[in-house]
Amino acid sequence: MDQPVVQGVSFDVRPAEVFALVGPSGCGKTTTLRAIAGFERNCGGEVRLGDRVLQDATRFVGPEKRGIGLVFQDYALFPHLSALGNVMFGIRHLPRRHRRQAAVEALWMVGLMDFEKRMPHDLSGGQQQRVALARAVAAGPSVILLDEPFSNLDPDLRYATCNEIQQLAHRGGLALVLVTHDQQEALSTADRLAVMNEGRIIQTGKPQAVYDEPETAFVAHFLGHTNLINVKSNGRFGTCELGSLELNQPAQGRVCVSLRPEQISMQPAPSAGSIPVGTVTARQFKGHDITFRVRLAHREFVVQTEHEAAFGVGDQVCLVPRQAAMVVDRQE
Amino acid sequence: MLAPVVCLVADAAQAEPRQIWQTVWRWRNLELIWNTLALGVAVLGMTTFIAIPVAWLTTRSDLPFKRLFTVALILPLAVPGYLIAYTLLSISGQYGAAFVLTGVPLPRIDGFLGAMVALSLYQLPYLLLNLRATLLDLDCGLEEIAQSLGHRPWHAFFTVVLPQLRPALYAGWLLVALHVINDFGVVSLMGYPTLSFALYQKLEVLDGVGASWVALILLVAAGSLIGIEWWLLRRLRLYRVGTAVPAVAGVVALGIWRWPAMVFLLFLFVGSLFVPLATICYWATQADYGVLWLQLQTALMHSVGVGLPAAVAAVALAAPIAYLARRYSSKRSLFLERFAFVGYAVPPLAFALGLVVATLAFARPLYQTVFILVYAYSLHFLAEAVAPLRAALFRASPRVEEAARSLGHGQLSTLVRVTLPLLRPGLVAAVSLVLLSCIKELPLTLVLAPPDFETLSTQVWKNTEDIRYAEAAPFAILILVVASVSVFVLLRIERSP
Repeated sequence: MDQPVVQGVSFDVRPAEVFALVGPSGCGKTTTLRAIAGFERNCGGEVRLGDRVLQDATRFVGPEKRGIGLVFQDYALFPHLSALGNVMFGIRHLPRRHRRQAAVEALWMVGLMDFEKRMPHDLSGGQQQRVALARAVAAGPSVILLDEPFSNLDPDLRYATCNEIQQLAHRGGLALVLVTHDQQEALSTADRLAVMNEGRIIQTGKPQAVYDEPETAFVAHFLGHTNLINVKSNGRFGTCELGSLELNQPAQGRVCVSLRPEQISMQPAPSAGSIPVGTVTARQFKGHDITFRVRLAHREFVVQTEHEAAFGVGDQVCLVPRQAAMVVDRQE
Repeated sequence: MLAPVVCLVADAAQAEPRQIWQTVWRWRNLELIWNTLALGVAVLGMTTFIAIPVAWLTTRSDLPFKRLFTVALILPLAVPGYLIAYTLLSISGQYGAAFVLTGVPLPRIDGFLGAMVALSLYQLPYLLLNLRATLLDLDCGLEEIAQSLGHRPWHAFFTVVLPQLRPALYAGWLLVALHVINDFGVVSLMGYPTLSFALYQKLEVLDGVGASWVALILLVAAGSLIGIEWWLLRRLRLYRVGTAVPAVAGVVALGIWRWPAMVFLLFLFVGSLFVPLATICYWATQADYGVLWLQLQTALMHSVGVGLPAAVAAVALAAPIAYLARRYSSKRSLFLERFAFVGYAVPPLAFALGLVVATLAFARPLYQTVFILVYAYSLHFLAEAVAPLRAALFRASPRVEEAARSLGHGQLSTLVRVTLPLLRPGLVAAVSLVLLSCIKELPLTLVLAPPDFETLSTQVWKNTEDIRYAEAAPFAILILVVASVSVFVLLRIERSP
């Protein structure tokens, strides 16, 4: 392990904020999380909580003294303790007689009122996660870290968990850092997010801003589908297979731009004209929208249209960008 | 653990070269080696011959009562060899139960034949368990492919399945061979002179140098067995391919063959479980309990009194080993863990002799005290304590400890409130397993126990040797009870995930 797993990662999280670290598996998200929690001793850099330095070149505060809550991907409930016992385990700031009450309240908060006596192996995956969340909250931290909170849940529970996390932050005033490889969940849950790849943070910002204006091809590609197009640019405009394109920022020479499937509209090919014409090669009906694949000038474009689009496989169409294309650097 | 072995070598080297020459290069020694080898090969052959069809029948065929047969044939695992030898001896010959009851003497089962039968029955479970485990998760798609390529089922079994059973066979063979050369109880009762039996006889006549050299030969033999197995497995691993999703093993309909198969298994069942039990029960009714009652109490007290401290000591030694091996799987802790198994593999008589030499040299006051016995037990059964502890530690993922840390508990508090409670079932299992093994143990007890310190196992052995089969029976029954409890404990450990 000569090369550090994580390098040059720096971000700050505010109270009452949900911050997501998102990236493909193996990009170093979890390592970053463990470093914040204090489980990675051998690292340089600094971890601060408010004015308190938790870790720098000279100091190292142990995980038990950091006051940072942690919800593991596998929940890591204590198998020998009941749900209530698990939650009470972390309550140390209250006198003994108040602990039970506090733990019961924490279980109420996550909607598990009648599950106090259940043992972890008698709980479903979603319930286990709620107990783990209640356990972390009851200990009274100002920051809670969540490692892949959505990975073991079915779609309904994902939605509920997402809500719960947002409420915890916004009403409870906690700072929440969650790590996920699921871009969809990151976009919908986080107030801000950082996209990570190969141990580095590539871009940080509000979900919509990062989605709409990706700075690199990796970010564009990772947060949803996109068409990456090579463009010969000249100022605010460039030319490519689709014809002339407007760019979001001036550029010169060969650049790569990103146009998301929903940023392209499809029109029937005119009977005559100089606009490039493509052929629909596939049509995927997805309910509220339809995804088309269009073959044009030896490559395939992905286009997403509204429900009613009446095109079929084999139709001749032309593609028109709905908005300026995002210039991203060249990164295949 | 090393000290006894070092002392053994030192003691053996003390002798004059001429004397060494005379002790080592003797026809008698060659004969002993030859006997040990012959017995080993015979037992390996017999167990393999029985274990492969039984393993296949109980995993792959539609034979009725598969589960029952499996359990019945695995049970002897916990029964010590000298007890099986006792039942074979006490049923046959002119003093045997068969003659007493029917008047028709069974030919006496002793010597080479007796040792082979007793050891085979006793060792069969080791091979059977290994083979069954492999057969159960073998990709039987391979077998079907072989058949689809035009091989008949029998041929497919020999060309495709058998080669895949090799790792299981090698591992099983190693255990069986180790047990054969280390065995003392069976060969001594059967009167078949192998290396360990000769070692015991030399100790009896106080031939120190001779004993040391035989012990060294034993050590070399055990060491080379482990070496050979390691080498074989290492070479095998190179051409074993990871299977993708293994096809679920289908059940083979036996058709008309089910009847001979049933007869075969029934015969094994009767031979390995029913006859021994019936024999012991018969002799137990013949015993005179007047004097025996007191002897029984004393022996039980001695067995437990030495076994319990040994079990606690073994677990105390094993806990850090298991913990280190689980948490920091570095080369060093792996080495430590292997080391625990060395105590298991070292021939017990050689180990006992080494301990005797070591105590006489460095700790004379401890010679022939129970302390030495406790010490020997705890090192010998260290491996048995490591296994359940490791299984328990697998339940406790490091995440759980980290969760406790992140909730504000320091290292000590985490250990006391999380790690130890999680380990408790493992600790209980480990202590009981070692305790039960200590009670069943024979050679270490015979050599190291203080004079006239009789335990359950030594009582069975001595009474059998003196052809007092009825007097041996009550002790044998207690040993059987101990054995069945250890099977119960083992099964519980296996069942907990």
